[in-house]
Amino acid sequence: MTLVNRVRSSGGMLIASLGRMDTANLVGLLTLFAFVFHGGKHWYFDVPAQILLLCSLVYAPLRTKPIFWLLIVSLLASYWSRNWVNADTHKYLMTYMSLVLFLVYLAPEKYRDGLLAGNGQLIIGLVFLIATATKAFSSDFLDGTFFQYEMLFDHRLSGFTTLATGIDLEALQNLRGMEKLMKEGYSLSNDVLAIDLPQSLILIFLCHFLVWWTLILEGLIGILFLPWGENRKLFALRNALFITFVATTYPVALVRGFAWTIIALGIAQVPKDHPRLRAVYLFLFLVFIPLCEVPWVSTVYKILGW
Amino acid sequence: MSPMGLRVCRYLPSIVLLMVFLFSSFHIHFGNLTPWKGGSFGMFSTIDSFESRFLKFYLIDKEEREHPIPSPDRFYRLVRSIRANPDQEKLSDLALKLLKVSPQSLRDDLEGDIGQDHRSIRVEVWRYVIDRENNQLKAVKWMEETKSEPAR
Repeated sequence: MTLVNRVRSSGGMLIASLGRMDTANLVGLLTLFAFVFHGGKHWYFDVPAQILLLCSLVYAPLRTKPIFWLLIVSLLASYWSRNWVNADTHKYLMTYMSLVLFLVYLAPEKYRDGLLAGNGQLIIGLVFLIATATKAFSSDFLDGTFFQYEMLFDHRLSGFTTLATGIDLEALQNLRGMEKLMKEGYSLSNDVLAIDLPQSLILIFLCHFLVWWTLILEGLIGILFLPWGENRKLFALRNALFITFVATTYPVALVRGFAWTIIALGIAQVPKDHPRLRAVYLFLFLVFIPLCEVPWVSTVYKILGW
Repeated sequence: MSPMGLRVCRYLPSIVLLMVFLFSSFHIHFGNLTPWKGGSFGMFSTIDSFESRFLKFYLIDKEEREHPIPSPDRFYRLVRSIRANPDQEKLSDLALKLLKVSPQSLRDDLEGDIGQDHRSIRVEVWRYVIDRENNQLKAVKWMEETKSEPAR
């Protein structure tokens, strides 16, 4: 057996064994990882978070105790409420997810899967509807200005910008250098008040395309995840759109904490009798999202000496 | 578990989510909170993010000369809070805190006598806009606050 086949086989076994887990337990485990890696940045959060994760790994039944999840909700809520204006959105989302798990384990066992699925579905629906509405009412989003700025100045998008528009990585790096001067140059007597942006028709076209792609995709996900009742076609369509969102958004603009939490919510609304769909979500969580961290374009450019 | 209890388990997280969203939206529309922060799910919706807001600091000596000073690390938390949700009260608080610090610890190349007799601190909040006509990213001043130490 070659090394590649061994890795593929063990990866498949890991996903298969996770796929067989009880849904609440699986979602709890994934939420815990998102919580420990992206919940907070200070010792007073990290230390208790790591202790809770370790305890729950050593003694797995701990993850099924409501008090365990209540502790996590309290830790997250006390952490972000201390400085709520600076807390990133995924910290709020993790809190809601942990609250769901607390309530799920508080309920009798026969209701757990239904409660988890219902909460997961509704939270995804609300998050996407709110996000779409916020974008639809934002003038600098609608006219493409936001994407123009992001594509030129956000380092996470530089590989995509180079590939899509041909503006080279060095030019983007120079723009970011100028932006740094705009913020800090005043104290070095090198004040920059305006930066000329590269002229690119492809960039303008792409920005407008992204505006409508985002609004339509996120809006549809928001609508389809609302509780419309049981319907197989609706279930398949909303999951296909959600997976399309993850697969097309995070390679370009990765926010790992948010991505992991929203995928854990996605798994929460998939019943256990859909093992393939659950495996897709697990693949996205365990393999796809970590791979999105790799700066593929700049790495390939470096290897090729461009 | 009672039907009521089940309904609480089913809808409580979404109700909390909506309440936090309404609270944050209030601060976005009636205050200066960036839509990227505060649980309103407005990230990636506008250029007006935490990153596109920044502060400039100036020490003004008794001869009214301005000495720019870099962002003070010791007030990191307050600076972050101002960038996310600026208001005059926070700017005033920061300016007063900076007045209590020796000028040399704010900028180490300042001469020894600057600011010893009388000084002011001006804190400015800037943000980005895109000028579509000239195809430029521009920094524009948004608010400022000056605090002076009484002459001794």
